[in-house]
Amino acid sequence: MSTISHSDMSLLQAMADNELPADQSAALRARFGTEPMLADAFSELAMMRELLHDMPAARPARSLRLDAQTMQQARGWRWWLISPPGGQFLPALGVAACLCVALLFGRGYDQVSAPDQLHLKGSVAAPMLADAPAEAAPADAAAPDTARVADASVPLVAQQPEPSMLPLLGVTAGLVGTVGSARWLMRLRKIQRKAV
Amino acid sequence: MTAPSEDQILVSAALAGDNDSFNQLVERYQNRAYGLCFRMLGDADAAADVAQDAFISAYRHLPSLRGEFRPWLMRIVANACRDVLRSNKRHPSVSLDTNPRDEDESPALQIADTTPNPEEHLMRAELHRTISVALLQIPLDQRTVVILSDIEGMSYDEIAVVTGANIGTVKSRLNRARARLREIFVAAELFPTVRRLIADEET
Repeated sequence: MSTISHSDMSLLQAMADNELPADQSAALRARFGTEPMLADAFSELAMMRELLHDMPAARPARSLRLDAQTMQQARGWRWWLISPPGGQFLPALGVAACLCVALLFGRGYDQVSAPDQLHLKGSVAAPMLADAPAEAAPADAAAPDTARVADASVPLVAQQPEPSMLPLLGVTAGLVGTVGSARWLMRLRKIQRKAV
Repeated sequence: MTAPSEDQILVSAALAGDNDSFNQLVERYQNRAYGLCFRMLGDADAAADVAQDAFISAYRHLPSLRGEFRPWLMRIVANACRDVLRSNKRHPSVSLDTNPRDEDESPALQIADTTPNPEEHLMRAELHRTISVALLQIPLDQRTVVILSDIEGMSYDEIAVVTGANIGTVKSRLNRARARLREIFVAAELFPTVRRLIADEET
């Protein structure tokens, strides 16, 4: 055994695996006649492969099936991404989020711009107040103020508020959320369809 | 487009929430998984525990599965065995001093015995025990490759996926493993026994 070189051993194993090209295999076999150690080694290798292949199958003494509780505990964050709890409500949640964001930013816009609108539209508001019923005493009291503001020399155009993009951003964010949720749900349905 | 394999269908169903589909995969591969663990660890109880843990790990990471299920699962199993061996510095529990009769009665190795001759049966049992012990004497990387190739019958490509090594490394490890095993078999005078068994079969 000690006379067999490492390279010869590799060749013998390649031949045992039927991975040696035909010409090299024939050349190696031709050496078997003059080098009996080589022939013995090949015979032993082939025998060893057969022995390993014929080893009896090992079977577990118990079933390795997983119970429902183990599976539930084993579900990690990847599982949550695939099947989030309450996943069927995601589109509805997306729409609700869209409305919430739009309302939130929309209200903020109204609160900030309301006084400006009052001042700027003084000239318009005055006739409206004049048309109001006579019992609206506070409205009558406010009329001179609005008239004074209207008389101010500040240019009307300069006091107009910047048109805010926030409501638009809110609606866009909500839409993106809705579409994302819908796509997520569609992917889940696709997996389920494939399973069926 | 190729039709999905039965494994892929079961994986999809499991991902859609069908627990029974995953358990069908468990039943399909539990012998292979356990066999790999048993050959690598040399301990029936530890092998069952590690194989069970590997299935739990496979279920946990099932959403990240890309490609074929079998090599992916076997990679998880091999890694689990490697982790156990490294962390516990586990020594093989099967030794040459083990009573062959105990081995025969172990549920871990249920040999389909077709030999009527009790003497031959004992010789085969001894042979298999010696091979199991010899496997435990070679380095872990080589052992993994030789088990997957020569016992489980996996291709070089599949072994490369399972071990995370390239095919050249797989072949190199396999060559070294077989050379080492051959030395052990020669030292244990295993080949004369095998030749005698073959001769008995022929007569």
